[in-house]
Amino acid sequence: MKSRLYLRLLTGAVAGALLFGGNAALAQEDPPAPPAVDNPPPAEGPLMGRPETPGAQALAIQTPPALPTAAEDLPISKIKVPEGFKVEVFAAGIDNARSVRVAEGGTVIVSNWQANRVWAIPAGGEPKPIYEGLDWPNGIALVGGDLYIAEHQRVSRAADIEANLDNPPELEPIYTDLGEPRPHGWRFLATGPDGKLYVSNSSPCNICAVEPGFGEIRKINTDGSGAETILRGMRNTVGFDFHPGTGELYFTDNQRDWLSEDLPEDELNRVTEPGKQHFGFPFCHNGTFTDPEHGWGYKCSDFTDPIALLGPHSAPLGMRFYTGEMFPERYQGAIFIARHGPWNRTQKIGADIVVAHLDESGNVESLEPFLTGLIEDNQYIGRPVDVEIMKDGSLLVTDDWNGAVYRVSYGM
Amino acid sequence: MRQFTIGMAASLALACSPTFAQEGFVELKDQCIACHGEAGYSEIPDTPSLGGIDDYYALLQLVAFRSGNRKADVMNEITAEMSDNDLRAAAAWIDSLPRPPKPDGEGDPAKMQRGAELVSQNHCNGCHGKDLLGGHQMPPLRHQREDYLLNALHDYKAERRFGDRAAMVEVVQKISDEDLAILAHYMAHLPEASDQ
Repeated sequence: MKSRLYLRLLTGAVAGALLFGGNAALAQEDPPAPPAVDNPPPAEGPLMGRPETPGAQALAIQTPPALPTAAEDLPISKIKVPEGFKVEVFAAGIDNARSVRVAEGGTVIVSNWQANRVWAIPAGGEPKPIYEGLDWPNGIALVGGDLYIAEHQRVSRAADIEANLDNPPELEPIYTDLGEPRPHGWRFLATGPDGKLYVSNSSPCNICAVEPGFGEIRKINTDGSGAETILRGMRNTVGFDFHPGTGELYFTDNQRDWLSEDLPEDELNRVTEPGKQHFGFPFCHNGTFTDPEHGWGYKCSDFTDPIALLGPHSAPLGMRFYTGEMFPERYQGAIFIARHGPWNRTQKIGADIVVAHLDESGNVESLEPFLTGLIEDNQYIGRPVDVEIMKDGSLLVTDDWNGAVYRVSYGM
Repeated sequence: MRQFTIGMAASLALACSPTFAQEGFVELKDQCIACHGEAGYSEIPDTPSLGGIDDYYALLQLVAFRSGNRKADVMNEITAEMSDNDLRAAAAWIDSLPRPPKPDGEGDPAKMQRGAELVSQNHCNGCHGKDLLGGHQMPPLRHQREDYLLNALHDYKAERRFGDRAAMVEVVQKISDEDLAILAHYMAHLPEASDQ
């Protein structure tokens, strides 16, 4: 008996359409066709594999404004959070703000993907870049006082970072065995409860036969030695964290494009047997159906199922277990998940923070929206990427659309 | 179902759009024109024509020059001290330029034929448009300077330049240097586009 939970975090309009399924008068004729466009697919990149129908041809990667949004123009007044919570601007002007970590002394570290910098915001201070000219430094993690940065093909250490913010040390590469292909070649990095580093090496394609070494999360020692594969069959994760009680690794996984507007859904997964589980890519999606090309000859029961489905193309990225003391009791141990929102879907969903509440055995009991309001007229006005808990228990949220960091607090 | 309320009632700003004060750009514009020309096309070797480039794409490049993410010594230096509004003004000026005309002289027939095949094989139109005139997020290629096109293609191939998600890096990896030269020649020498 599967206890997997299916999440339908659709917008009201979409949910309504699903419930009522169109009325009888409309059912007799086709709905209006999407306008045709003359736009052949490129040979490489995310558009490869696109069906040549007008609705599909109209979709493209969403590119943010060229410059970070000024603090006074950020969409704070549009953001909705549950009663008792409030949202404020924590930092603005951080182009392409991606992953976020809080160091022991309260310094907030923010990474970039394409803008190639790593930023520090000292407690009570202004953001400033501490590293520039890196190669997609999306992944950041702290071990003790040392900052680790995962670029496209290397993980490096910046020793004792908080004591050296004015004169950051030269990066010391510790691990370079990461895949060369660029698709999905931006990394997520986290520190495990065992004090080791965990780094992603995602599958370098929308859908393909995956070569050995890809579709993995690996564990490495802080000197880069002892690399060990923790899981396989992952497509593209940009967020994982560890259960505060059991230490188990939970990760978000972005599923394939161009199969359908509504399938597959993106996933939340749980690793219960490190090194032994395969999560299905490219053979089986969502634990429920085999891939129309790569799935022939396989069956979904041979792979590990996701523990929650987070919406089609919704792009769940960063996630953290809540262990702070500020939020109400019901959020203790729950997972906050940033959904970046789709590009490969006509009707946008997500661009929000959702909360997964777990039961005592570590499975998802319920899912609910937490921070919403960043889609207006089917356009993004912000896109959450990562979340992190501050020392006081408030929640930081990065937004790479606006180049900003928000702080969500409760009470007071 | 929990009720959701707006967390922060006070609106900090009522959608005030950025001011397009020209600031430093008035004086800098002459510097731009000195190399790139004032009529949308450049007559200086290795210097791109700017006509036909969309405001958004122009601003993306200017921001990348200023941050150093896109390397080009002269542009890195010129943009270093420019404010956000200077960059916006520069991008608006670029957007206002007419498209570069077809250069004098016809393309080499063999190269034009092979170039058309390469464009088709590599699906260049998929992003750059059916007439290679670019768009909101995409640079125009038609009638760009041949030397500049070739430099740009080599920069992508050598990963000196990335572009969004490194899509161009992936595209050019499997194209030979000889074919890159043919592509540059072809794009520079196309006839006038029908809808131009």
